[in-house]
Amino acid sequence: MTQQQYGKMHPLSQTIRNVTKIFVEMGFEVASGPQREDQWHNFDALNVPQDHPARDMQDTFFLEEKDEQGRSKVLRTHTSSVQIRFMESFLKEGRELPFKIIAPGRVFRQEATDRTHEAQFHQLEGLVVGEGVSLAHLKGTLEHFLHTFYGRPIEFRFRPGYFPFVEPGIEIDLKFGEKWMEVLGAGMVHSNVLENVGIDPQRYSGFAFGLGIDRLTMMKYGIDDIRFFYQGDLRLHHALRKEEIAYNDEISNE
Amino acid sequence: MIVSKKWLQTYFDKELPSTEELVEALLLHSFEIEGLEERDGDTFIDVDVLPNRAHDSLSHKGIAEELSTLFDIPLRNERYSSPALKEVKGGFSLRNESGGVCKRYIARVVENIEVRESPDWLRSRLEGIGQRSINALVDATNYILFDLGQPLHVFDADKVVGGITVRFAREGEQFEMLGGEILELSSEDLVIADDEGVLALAGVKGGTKAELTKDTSRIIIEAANFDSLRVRKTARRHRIATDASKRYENGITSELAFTASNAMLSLVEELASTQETRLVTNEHGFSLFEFYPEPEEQVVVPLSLEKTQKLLGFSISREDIKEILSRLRFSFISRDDGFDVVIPYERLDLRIEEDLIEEVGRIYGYHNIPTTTLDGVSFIPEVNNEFFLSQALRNFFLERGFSELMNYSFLKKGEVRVLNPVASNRSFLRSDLEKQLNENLEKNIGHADILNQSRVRVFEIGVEHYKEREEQVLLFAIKNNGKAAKKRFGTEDKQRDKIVMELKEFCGVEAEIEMFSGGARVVLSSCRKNIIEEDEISKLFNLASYSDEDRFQGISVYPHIRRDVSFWVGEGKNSIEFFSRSFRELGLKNLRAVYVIDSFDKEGRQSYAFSLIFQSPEKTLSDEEVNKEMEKVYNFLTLQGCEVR
Repeated sequence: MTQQQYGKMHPLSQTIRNVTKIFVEMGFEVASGPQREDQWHNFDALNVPQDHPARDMQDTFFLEEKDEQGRSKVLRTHTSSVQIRFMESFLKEGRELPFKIIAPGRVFRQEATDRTHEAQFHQLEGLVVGEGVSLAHLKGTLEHFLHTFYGRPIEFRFRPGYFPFVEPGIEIDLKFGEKWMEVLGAGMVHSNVLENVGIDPQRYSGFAFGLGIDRLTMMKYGIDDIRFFYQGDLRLHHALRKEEIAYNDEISNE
Repeated sequence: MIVSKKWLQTYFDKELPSTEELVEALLLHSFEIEGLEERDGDTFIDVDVLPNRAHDSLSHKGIAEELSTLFDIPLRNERYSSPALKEVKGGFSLRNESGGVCKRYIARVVENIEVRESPDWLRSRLEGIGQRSINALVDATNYILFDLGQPLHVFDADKVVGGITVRFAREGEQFEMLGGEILELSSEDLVIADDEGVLALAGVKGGTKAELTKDTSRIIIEAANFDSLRVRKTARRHRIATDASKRYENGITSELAFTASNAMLSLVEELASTQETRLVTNEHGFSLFEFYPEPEEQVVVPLSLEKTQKLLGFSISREDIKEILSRLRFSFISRDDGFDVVIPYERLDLRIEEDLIEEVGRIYGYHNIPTTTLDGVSFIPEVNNEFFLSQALRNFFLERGFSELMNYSFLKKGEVRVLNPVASNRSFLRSDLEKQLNENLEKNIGHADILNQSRVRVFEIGVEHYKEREEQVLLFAIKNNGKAAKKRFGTEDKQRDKIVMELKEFCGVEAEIEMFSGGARVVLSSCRKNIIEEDEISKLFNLASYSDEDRFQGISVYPHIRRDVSFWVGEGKNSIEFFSRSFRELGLKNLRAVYVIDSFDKEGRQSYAFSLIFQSPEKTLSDEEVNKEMEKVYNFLTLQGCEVR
């Protein structure tokens, strides 16, 4: 079988694969969780209290079905819910800190769609918790990741950001040409989050980061409309190529 | 929030650094900058204040204080003159029936004022940041809102019957807002009322009942603070968002009300006073009509040197931290192991040690913090079967010529209903990927020319949603493009059966595989565990469909035109590559693809056939336009001594 006859994977799968590879090689475990979440895992445990303005940051899809507390379940608004799922079962299984995980997955936001917004998209979450885990570790980890992902040293900058589940909160921009692009949200896991799952924040600390897979893919290939990803249209795959005019030099047996 | 550089400058005696420096410093240490505009001899900076700083930074004061910290330049002390209005004894009744929802209420009553137009400085300040000038009094309240971050309201005191009561609305009580719209209130809404009815929806919007007019001569100035959650709910219920409600919703300190009330008196004196203007006091000579049942207490948060170093990951010195705290204008007491930091009232975001560590980190500059690797964090990861299985299955189908698609998770029908769908035909989560995949086949058959495929083969790995559970599945489907493909590859079902056989071998006999016309569905959780040996995991990732050099070449919404050309090659054999490259280099504006589709040799003569795809990103091409481009192809072939068949 020659390479030519292979099908093409979805560009988002390619990005998830590339990113996952780098972190798996750094010793990270891959974690996963459900798309339909209860409000505890999606909000409360992540230090986003009920009726808090922070919940406005993420327009949420609510479901008819209820969680154990009788509240509407939601479609997860971020892969951060997997942080809580993982830590809860990690402790329950009696495993011992530290740990390093990533969690890629589909997430949902109830918002109007346009070239840069979709009601569904993909994120990849990272979480490292242990004794003495610091902001310098976060910086070192992301630096290694970015350099490997882009295959060259890439200029990036950390600046203040806000996410309720981290403190301090950080946003990370990458430099492409003369332009800075926001690519990652990150920070040190909020002590309330650690307490919520039963990890002693006096002894342990951690960092978390979240990466927008769709955005990263759009930037990597220059795709100018996020909606192309979910149209079931193979012309997307076909349009990712070196040459402006497509060609083959061998007669296809397809 | 839009801030004016000239306005910010009023906070400093020293000249501010260049706009470029301001923006750079704010971005790296404080807030993102959304926009920058130079006009009317001023610079306007659109600052995206982070949600946790909306308590203290949604004002020129907040941004000026931030700049004072970042550039270490002192703030000017008094920006408002102390009010010196003459006083007159009178009376005013203020009642609190809010049960703690109104945290503080300050009323000042001033009589014999004149409602004038705003002076130029005030008008231009407000217009500069996009606010409309109304009259000097209303403008003064707006000015203070954008200057100090405290919403204020002015009532026409002659239209207030009896006193002011802060109370809950009666269910169904009517309220006419400024602008004339009538709201029906809920008993959950807090209002400012007189003895007759509602004067204002607390913290959200004023009403017409005691609205200022040019004839107003007695005023009541309100400076208050309301529970953030309550304001948020009321604003939501009535779908009103104002600059005032935005600030209350985020939460501001009650201490600010007093400062702002004094500032307003100072502006009233400057902008609306006459010889006869008097500040009304009670019988004891107090002009401050107020309730403040639970005055805010100053919060002290400990900051340990060790914890700061541990969390930031480098040994920042005690001296550095001290300097940062001083620049932030925080009072602190040094302890052996760190500091006790007195939090300024307006910094409602600073409550735990990590909050202060964030302050230290961001002022020091995250970009200045060194990097450390995770080598010291040793951990043995477990294998996530589901994830690696999906990667292995993805490779299985890619290797067999199938391409991967992703569809929407929302459908018209399903088992799990979404309460707030984006559209009525997307109000369920999908439990059936088959329909979407079949639609994908139809759509892509229409693109077969562009894709250069005589059949379409696709798969999707996704989640099916059922009551009580989610199921990860893989579906694949095949469609031949016409009879030629059927002849070459067999029927879709025959092709499917071959794949299913291989799939069974790959996934184990237990695997739940359900066939449908031209495709099949596999439930991932039913596949045998540990399909992948642990040492094989990293190899799973090596298969790639795109390279770093690939770029998105665009997808046109307009139809394409296909033209086939076959020809006998002239003297001196030329290769497929030569013709393919030559066609692409003819400079044909609308040529999108060149595919060789046939090649044979007859009695020493070589024949080729190419399919040329034309498409424009801007319009539907006409036959004439394509004919013109094809002329160039024929001319080229003639020049090469080829004979078009």
